[in-house]
Amino acid sequence: MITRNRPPDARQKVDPGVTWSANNTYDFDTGSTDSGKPPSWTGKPTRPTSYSSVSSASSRGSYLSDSLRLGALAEEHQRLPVAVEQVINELIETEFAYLNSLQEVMTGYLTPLRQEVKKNALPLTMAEIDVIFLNIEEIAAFHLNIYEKLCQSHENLTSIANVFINNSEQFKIYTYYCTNLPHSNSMLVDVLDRPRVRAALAELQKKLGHPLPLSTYLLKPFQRVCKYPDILQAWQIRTPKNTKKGGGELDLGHKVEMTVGSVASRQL
Amino acid sequence: MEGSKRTEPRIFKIIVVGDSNVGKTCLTYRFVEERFPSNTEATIGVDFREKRVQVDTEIIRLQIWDTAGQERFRKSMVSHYYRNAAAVIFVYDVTCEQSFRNIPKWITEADQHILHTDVPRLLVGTKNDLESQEVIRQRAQRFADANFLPLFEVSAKSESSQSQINAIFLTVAHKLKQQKPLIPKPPGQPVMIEWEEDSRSSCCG
Repeated sequence: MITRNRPPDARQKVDPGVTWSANNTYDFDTGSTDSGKPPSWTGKPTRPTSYSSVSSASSRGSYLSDSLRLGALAEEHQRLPVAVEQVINELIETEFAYLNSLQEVMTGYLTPLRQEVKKNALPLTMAEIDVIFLNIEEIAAFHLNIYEKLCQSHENLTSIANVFINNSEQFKIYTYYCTNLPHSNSMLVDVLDRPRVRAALAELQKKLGHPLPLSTYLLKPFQRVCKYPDILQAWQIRTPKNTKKGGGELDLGHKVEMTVGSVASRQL
Repeated sequence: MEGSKRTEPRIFKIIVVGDSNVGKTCLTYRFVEERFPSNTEATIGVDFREKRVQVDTEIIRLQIWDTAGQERFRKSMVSHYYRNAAAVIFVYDVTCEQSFRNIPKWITEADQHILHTDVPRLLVGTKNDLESQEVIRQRAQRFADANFLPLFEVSAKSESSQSQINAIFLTVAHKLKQQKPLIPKPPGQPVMIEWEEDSRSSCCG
């Protein structure tokens, strides 16, 4: 069992909806279809200033340096391109933030709601709870496993890629989640019509200190699975093709991307 | 309780597509929440917004799929977005010529994924409160006419556009009311039982 250090609170609190921003320092996609003009109309994103520091190895949060020794990794592997290191750091850090929010949903919403329903204290059924939360517990358990393995594979990039390749079959659990998310959303809208459920959810949200409601957090698995191909493609692009080692990783990264990318097509 | 059981409102899926940063999120947010979001970030994948609207005597539920404009945040999910879509809203930014020029690309994408020809489609130009209008109305209208798309120009930012934005979605809702719902119930979804504020004793308990 691995002990996870808490992430910096500030980032967790202000970054509830989306873990990634198009305007952050990691503009992986060099061939982006984005026009690249500043968001003049939608207003500036309120990305916390601490976020940009994520890109620099020196000012990275200590929780990661401690647990993953990524700083040491950078020193040990001088040949490792900085860009690749950034991609990997981003992968692991966002993986942690993601896992964290999944667990918040479970401990902050799912468990208390089930307890209330068991006591008949809420006008809500277990079946409705199942529709709303889908297989989020399965997804969280899977990602805890992934995260632990990522932490153990700080030695080299190939092990990191292998974490995904060896677990690629399990990404299928996202098929159920993504396919049924619209129904989850509708069910949530339904149950929010009941004043006592609405009050209970608001109370739980307050306890968690989340600025945004549960529906936003339920989107996270969908968003995460949309992000993997992007991260892995960035990895692929940044990996030099002329090195033998890099070539192997390129292949691995590509394999991973294929696997994750096919999650969506499988469900159709 | 039998007598008080209402029929479930029908749900229709509306997908909103267009280039990144044209204001899809702000447009749908304005309709559903009736205000302009204080800040938004790039949508990753999709976001769902749902609103009940009354059309004549019937309440219907519009489930709006606010999709990511950036290719990298949507590529793996595209066919998923269009599946069972009851209507499509194409969005461009009137201050960004390129976003208008890309509309045919979005139409092509929709054509590839939507098999029914009778799925209503609309064209919406956003940010028309801004001075730097690059896409003039007449030109957009000609394009819209040629493609049989009703055209709306709005600003999600200005309060005065609220009714206009409501009108866009109500136009869709009216069209959809004539159809059967395109989102089938998922297998295993529990049958909804009419719920009462204080019914401690369930009917099967």
